[in-house]
Amino acid sequence: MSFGINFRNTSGYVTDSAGETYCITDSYPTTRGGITFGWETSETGRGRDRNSGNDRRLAGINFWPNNNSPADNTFRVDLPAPGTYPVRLAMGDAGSLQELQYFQIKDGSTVLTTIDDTDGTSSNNFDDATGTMYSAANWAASNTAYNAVMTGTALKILIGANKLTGSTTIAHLFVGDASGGGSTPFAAYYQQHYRAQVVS
Amino acid sequence: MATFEEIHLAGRVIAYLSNCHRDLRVNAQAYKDEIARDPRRLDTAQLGAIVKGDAQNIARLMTVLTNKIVGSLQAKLGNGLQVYGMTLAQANAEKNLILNTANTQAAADVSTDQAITSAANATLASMPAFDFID
Repeated sequence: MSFGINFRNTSGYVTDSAGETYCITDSYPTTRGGITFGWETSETGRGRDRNSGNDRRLAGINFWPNNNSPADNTFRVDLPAPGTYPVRLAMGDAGSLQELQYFQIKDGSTVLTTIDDTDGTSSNNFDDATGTMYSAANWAASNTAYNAVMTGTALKILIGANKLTGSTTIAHLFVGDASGGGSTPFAAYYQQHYRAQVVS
Repeated sequence: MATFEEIHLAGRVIAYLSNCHRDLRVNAQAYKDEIARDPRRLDTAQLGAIVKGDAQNIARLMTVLTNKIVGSLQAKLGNGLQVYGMTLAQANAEKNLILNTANTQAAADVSTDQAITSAANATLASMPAFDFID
């Protein structure tokens, strides 16, 4: 079952499509729209409604300051089973530039990939799951998925790093249908873990 | 005196219980609101799948908690819960209420809007009203 989560501050700010729900800084575990998700550390006060004229997926954000203590927060979503899941992200802010976007996609405690985008995102531009930036107008058609090889069922998105001012901002998370069942194709596993080592 | 670890564990258990209690009620009302919405965002089959999915997820979380409450962490949890003025029996009773309600919802007929409304009403009747501060 594929699903999307749209991050913002107010549930009714925009209307989600079928197969989507919203996150208004909800803590884990929150169950809504057939999925269980939420922030592992309180995100209270860190949601914003930005631009209701944007694509609904890019209308708002949850964020974590990059000079905060603790340095990061982790968003968790429970998957139905291990497998390979295409993960799409929109990391940016419809209302402001952000100097740094730092995020990781994790299989439980295992880091699958790290994006350390030190030149950040322009206002109303969004990094995809591979760290490539697109304008709000182009993100939906152009963003690239990251294939997360999950040996467990806790998919985690860590945001924030104790590096600079500004915030890492998340607008949208999409998780596609799993492929490969519980098995992990060796080539995909090797490629992703090798890549994660290179990036970090 | 409870240790920091024990207080943390108890706090997590209370968070799981309170979030799931809240979600069962909030979601049940949301199912009814969706049926009343014009135009609908979800058709009956899509909504029915969500009704079951939500319930199955909450039941799974309660199963995880069961293993903690009656398993290897029982003693630590008991000490930690005392800080909150709670007993293991109280936590277990709340867990059972949530689990039974979730299981009932997961097994309910959701093939029609009327059936979904009945399932939602059953959940609302089972779970006491619940004020929540995030």
